[in-house]
Parts: sequence; C-alpha cells; structure tokens
Amino acid sequence: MNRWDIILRLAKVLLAGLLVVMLAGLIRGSAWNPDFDVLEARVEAQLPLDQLEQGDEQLLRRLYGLNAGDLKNWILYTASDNMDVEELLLVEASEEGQVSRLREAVEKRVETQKNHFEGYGPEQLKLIEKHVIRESEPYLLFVISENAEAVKAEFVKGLYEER
Amino acid sequence: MVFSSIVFIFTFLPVTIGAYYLAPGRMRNGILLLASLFFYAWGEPVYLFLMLYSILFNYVMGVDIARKREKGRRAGISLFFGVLVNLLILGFFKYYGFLAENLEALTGQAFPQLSFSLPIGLSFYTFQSLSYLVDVYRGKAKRQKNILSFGLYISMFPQLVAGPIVQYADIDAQLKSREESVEKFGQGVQYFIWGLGKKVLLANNLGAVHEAVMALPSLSALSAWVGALSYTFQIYYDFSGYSDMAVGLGKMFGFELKENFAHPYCARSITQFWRRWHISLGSWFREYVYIPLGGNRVGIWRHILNLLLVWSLTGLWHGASWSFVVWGLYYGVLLILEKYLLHRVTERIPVLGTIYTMLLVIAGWVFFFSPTLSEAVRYLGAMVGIGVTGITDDGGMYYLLTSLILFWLSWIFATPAAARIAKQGMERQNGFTPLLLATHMGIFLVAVAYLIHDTYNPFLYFRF
Repeated sequence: MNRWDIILRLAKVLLAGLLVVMLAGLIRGSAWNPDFDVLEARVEAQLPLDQLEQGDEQLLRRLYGLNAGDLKNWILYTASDNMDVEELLLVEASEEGQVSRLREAVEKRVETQKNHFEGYGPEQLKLIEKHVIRESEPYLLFVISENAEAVKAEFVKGLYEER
Repeated sequence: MVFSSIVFIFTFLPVTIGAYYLAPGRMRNGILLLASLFFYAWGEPVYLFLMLYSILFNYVMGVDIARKREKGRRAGISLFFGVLVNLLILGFFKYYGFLAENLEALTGQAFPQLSFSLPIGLSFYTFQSLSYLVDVYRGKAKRQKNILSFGLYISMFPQLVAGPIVQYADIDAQLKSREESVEKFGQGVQYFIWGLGKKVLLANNLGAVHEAVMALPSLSALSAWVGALSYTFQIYYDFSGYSDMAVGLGKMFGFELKENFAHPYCARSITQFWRRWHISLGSWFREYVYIPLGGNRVGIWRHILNLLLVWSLTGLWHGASWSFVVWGLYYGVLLILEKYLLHRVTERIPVLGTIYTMLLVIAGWVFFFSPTLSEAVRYLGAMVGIGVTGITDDGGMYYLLTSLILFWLSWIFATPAAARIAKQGMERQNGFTPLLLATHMGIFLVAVAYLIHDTYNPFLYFRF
C-alpha cells in the first residue's frame, strides 16, 4: 500500500465520519412534534362527530382516572347513546414517561368496557376488541370505532407530515 | 433564486457573464463554480455544506475508483460505497418522512419526527454524481483531476435546480475546453428568452387557471377537465421552459446541454411520449438502471419486471408518496401493453395515436397534482361524470371560455410548427432578422413586465 492509498483510505474514513456527524446534527436540530391541533383535526375528520359527545375533565377522570391538569393537551369523545361504545381519546403528555402510564389507564378502560358488554352486547364487544391504541411520544391515541384503522392512519400521517 | 426572477435576470446573470468573460480562460470554470455556489446558497445557505460535501466526496471516490482500475484492482466495492453514500443522502432528505410513516404504520414502532426541507436540486445533482462514479468505473470517462471542474459539473447553476440531468461522459470534454462565441451566446439568449416566455407567459397563467378550478367548491365534469387540461399544459411549459432557459444559459457560457423535451404532446404513443418528455431522466434510468438489469435482452417476464421496477423508481424519483409510485407504475404498465400488444396499432394511426396518448397523459397528471391517491381517483371520476354536480357548471364554463385563447396558444406552441419557425430564424446567418429581434424583445419585455407586476411565479419541478 503506497502513500496515496493511505491518503485515500483516510479521506474516505473522514468523509464517512463527517457525513455521520452532519446527519446526526441535522436529526438533533430537526426533531419536532406536530401541533396537537393538527393531529386533533386529522383524527376528528375520520369520525362521525354528530353521533359523539365531547367529554369534559370530570368524564376524563371517571373513565380513565386521569387528571386533566397533568396533561399538556387532550381531547375525548364518547358515544351519545349508552348502548354504543365508540370512543376517542387523544392525549399529549406533559412529561417524559407519562405516555406509558397513559397506556395503562387506557388498557384498563378497555378491560372495563369488555366486562361491561360481555354476554349481552356481542356487536359492541366485537368493536371494543378491534380497538386501536397507538403511542408515539409524546402522544397517545385510543379509538374504538368502525373507522379505527382510518383514524390511526391519519394520526400516523400527521406525525410525519412536514412542518 | 429562480431564472424567472428579476434579481436573476438583472443582477446575478449580468454580473456572472461579466466576470466570466473578463477572466482568463483557465479561471473561467472557477468563476462559474463560485457563481453556482452563490446561486445555490441564495435560497438555502445551510445546504451549501451538503453540496460542498457531495463535491468533495464524489471527487475522492472518483479518484479511488480510477486508481483501482488503473492498477487492475477491483473497484466494485469503491463504486458500491460511493453509490450507497449518495443514495443514503438522497434517501435521508427526500424519503425519510415517507419511510418512517410507512414503517410505523406497518410495525407500530414510532420513529423520530424530523422536519427539514428538501435541498433544492438534490435529486438532480445526486443522479449526476452517480453518473460520474459509474462512468469512471466503466471506463467510459476519465476521472476529473481538477476539483474545480468537477465541482462545476455537480453544481453548475444553469442545470442545477431542474436539470437537464447531464451524464458525465457527455460533458467531460466540455469541462476542459469549449467553444465560446458571439453566435453561440446569441443562440443562448434566444433559448433563454423562449424559455422565459414559456414559463412566465404560459405556465404561470395556466397555473392560475388550475388553482382557480381546484378552489371551486364543487366540480362538474367540465370544470374537472379544464383543471386537468390547464395543469397538463402548465407542467409542460413550466418544466420545458426551465429546461430551455438552462440550455440557453449553458450556451452563453459555451456549454452544449442536450435538450430535455421534443414536443411530447404530439407523441403518437406513450412509448414515444417518454422518448420526448424529460429526456435526460429517461436516458439516465435507461443507462444506469434498465440496461444493467438486462434491459430487453432477457425473457419476457424478466423484461416486464425490469420495466415495472424502473418505472416505480421513476415515479418515486418525482416524489416521496404512493401517488408518485402509482403514477410511475401506471406508465410502466402502459409501456408494457404498448410493447407487447398495442404498439403496431397506435403509431400507425397518427391522429388517433396522439388523442389516445394525450388522454392517458392527462389522466396521469391527475395522480401528479392530487394530494392523495383517493383524491386522484375521485378527480378522475369527476372527469367522467362520477360524483359531480353535473356535466357542466357556471364555474367550468367561465374558466373554459376565459382560457380558450390560452389553451389554443398552448397547443400551437406544443407542436413542432412553432418551434420549427423559431429554429429556422435562429439558424439564419447574421443572427437576428428584424422580425425575430422584435419578437424576442417583445417576449422578454412582456415577461419582465409580468414578473414585476405579478407575484404568482410558482415552479413545479423545484420540489423534485
């Protein structure tokens, strides 16, 4: 191996390293979270809002045991009719690690609903079992709906859409 | 900075031309390189580093590949590394969001959300870098020893933003020595004015019609057709106008860039259309993807697979979304059908062939301008009367009647007749005839007036 071979090899290693540094810097500088409002509008567009009711802080506490003051942003919809099970919860966590606690609360809610409709509400039970929980820091999405997959797809799209 | 802007026409270009021709011959590539880097940095100073990196990296890889070849050593790994890094950069900036979105939908695994704009011209200069590495590897061109000349090949402002994509072997000799003359400069000015007119007078006005139709609260079949037709002509004049300006600017500095369009809307088949539309991209894919895959010298099924692969990549090159992949595959399937079933029919019946081609091309552009696949399908439905308010409506009728002259002019200038007359004029001895001089001055002045008066000056191929 002569002098030029060594210089070339060194140049390639340096250039590869420079690329890694450049891309890493760009990733750090570009990391962002989409606006909650954007995600909210996207998921709401996939649901029949006229058949749903927007939930308040009390309902959030009653259904999930969550304190609204601990969350950065949230939106809750539940079915207007007691015999329906459609539900949407979209939350933006206010601190790191909160999303996993939110997930536990949502899973508990799913179990409660399953127990509630088991035995006498086969259609509702089927829908509950098709529920979607999707977390992507700092957001968590929970949907029970015929349209759950479309809601999830819109949520994911909103996460990566260019700012 | 875009060519069709006051700052480019009245400041950047005259200063660059002045500096270029005042400098001694050996310094001219350096002057042009500096001007190109300034041109690039004008819009996005941050990505100037990426451009400089790309120049340095590909220069080093070119040296490495050439040295290994000279010494009879295997250069394949070096080529692979060079191609990989170029594709990594392109993939990171252009396809990260698309990839992350699809992987998350598939696996449920969250990826970091990133936000950065696509570096201008990245798709174009990455393809030029790949062309250089492969041409050196194949021995089709010698490695460029002068880093300034190599930097100029990657960053040359006339074709940096929207092509044409120049294959290295085609420009290698011109980087070393090229003929600059008053005649060539004059031809360059004519090309530039012609392109400016296409862009500012036709494409921008067609774009305004398209946007107005898209903003209508509901569509009739007629308004859907007016919207699609205006976009069909807009994208042609936008892109071919920019390519003409690029060819013209190249000539002003002594370069001969290949023309990128050859009256695609007069093609008698889709096969012919793609030999006439964005010729440099088609040539690139043929040279560096299709032929290495075996081209048509393989069995029928392998050939079909090759075509589908090349066309899905062509679609993806245009943008990071499934709409573009479907658009590419749409053409892949049409080309396969023509190759094996229809080709003898379409090219033998001139008028019918052109109508058939235009209908399919217009339908193809719907995938291009629609934000999502479902929107594209809905729009195509509207064009055949599905899900519309009626066959005609007031909005559609208004835009059709007010754009009739624009559509008519757009069609006339898309045919070879108008270009033939202009070219004959260009080739006459002693440069301009008074009529041609007046015509070009007229186009230039009206275009400049439009640029000063009108703020609407989009450029469709920027995002690619």
